[in-house]
Amino acid sequence: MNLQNISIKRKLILMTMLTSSLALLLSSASFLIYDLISFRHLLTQDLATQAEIIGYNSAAAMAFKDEPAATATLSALTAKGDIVAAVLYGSDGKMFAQYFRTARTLPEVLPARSQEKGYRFEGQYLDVWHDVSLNGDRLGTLFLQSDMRQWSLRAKRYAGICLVFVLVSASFAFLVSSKLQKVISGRLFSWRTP
Amino acid sequence: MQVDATMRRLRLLITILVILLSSWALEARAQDPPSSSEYLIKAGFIYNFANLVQWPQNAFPQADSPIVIGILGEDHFGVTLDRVLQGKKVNGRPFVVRRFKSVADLAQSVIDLKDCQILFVSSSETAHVTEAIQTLRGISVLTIGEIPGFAKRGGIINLVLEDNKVRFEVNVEAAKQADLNISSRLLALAKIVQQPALDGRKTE
Repeated sequence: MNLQNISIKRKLILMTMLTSSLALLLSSASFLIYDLISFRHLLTQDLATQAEIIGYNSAAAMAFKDEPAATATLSALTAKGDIVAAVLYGSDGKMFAQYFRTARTLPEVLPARSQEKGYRFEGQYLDVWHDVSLNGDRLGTLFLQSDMRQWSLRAKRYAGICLVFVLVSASFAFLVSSKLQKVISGRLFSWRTP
Repeated sequence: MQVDATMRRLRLLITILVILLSSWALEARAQDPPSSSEYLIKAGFIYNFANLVQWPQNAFPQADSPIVIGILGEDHFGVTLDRVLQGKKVNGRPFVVRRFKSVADLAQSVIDLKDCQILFVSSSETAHVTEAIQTLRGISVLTIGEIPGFAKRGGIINLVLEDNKVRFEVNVEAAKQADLNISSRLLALAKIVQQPALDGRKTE
């Protein structure tokens, strides 16, 4: 179908649809991007809070070198499905206690020694390093790794919703614009025919 | 000739002396580690306890008074405890370590002067545990022992060796009586020990 061969009527409909769909697509995309960025930020904060709680609860166990108690505290993370691994490193930088959600995560994958505190995005994982201290004495570092499953889930769901929304809007735009163009082109043709 | 012989003899003597001294020092060092590492851990534990226990306001003569740690009986820490606590502070309070030879010695300085917040009862005082605890009744002193059954007999914290690791028992009732608030974080790691009912009745 050549663009030149299409009637003005069709062209008008196509133009309106294209413009509105494009505008809609762009605005949805910007919303999607904004939401995903802010959600990522939220996830980081959430993981940092998580690290603070776990760090607070395992500080005494670390101070008293009670490894089973520290492991038990880390195991509470089973309730958080997105946390793949949690490791406590002593003040010497060596591993003190660890937790893995599944046996699939091999310890070799994890950093052998502790790193500076802060957060890092590593591929599809979010890593948080948190200092563990008791009344101001630094005892070690806590490492938490999240697979950001809520994020990818949200991204997928959001993209799906956007797609459906754009399709529905486009068909709606088609209906409206074909009705509207009748008003204009109907009059246009009625002028030409007499 | 004569001087030479004397010199040689002197040199030999010095060599023998050096060898003897160094072997003695080595032996001493070889015997030292197991107990010293145990007491290094115990010293760290005492510091951690100080971090996780709250004393009432009136337990200190002044707002910035140091936390006085008394050692009752034979001191197995040597300089370890002083070294571990050096420069450390809890809530702005530094540490001072004092040694008490006997319960009588302790009674004299603690009761009037409130000059002790933590008392470590050495294993040498096994026979005087009840006496020491009686002396401190009603005073906010955190008693720490290393004697089997110390917590059961009214001590607050007892350090025990389990599979070569230092663990601890806590007598919560005794802590309450001494008006000490032990952090739940500490209790979570402790083995809670109950005082026999007979003893509990006697204290009330």
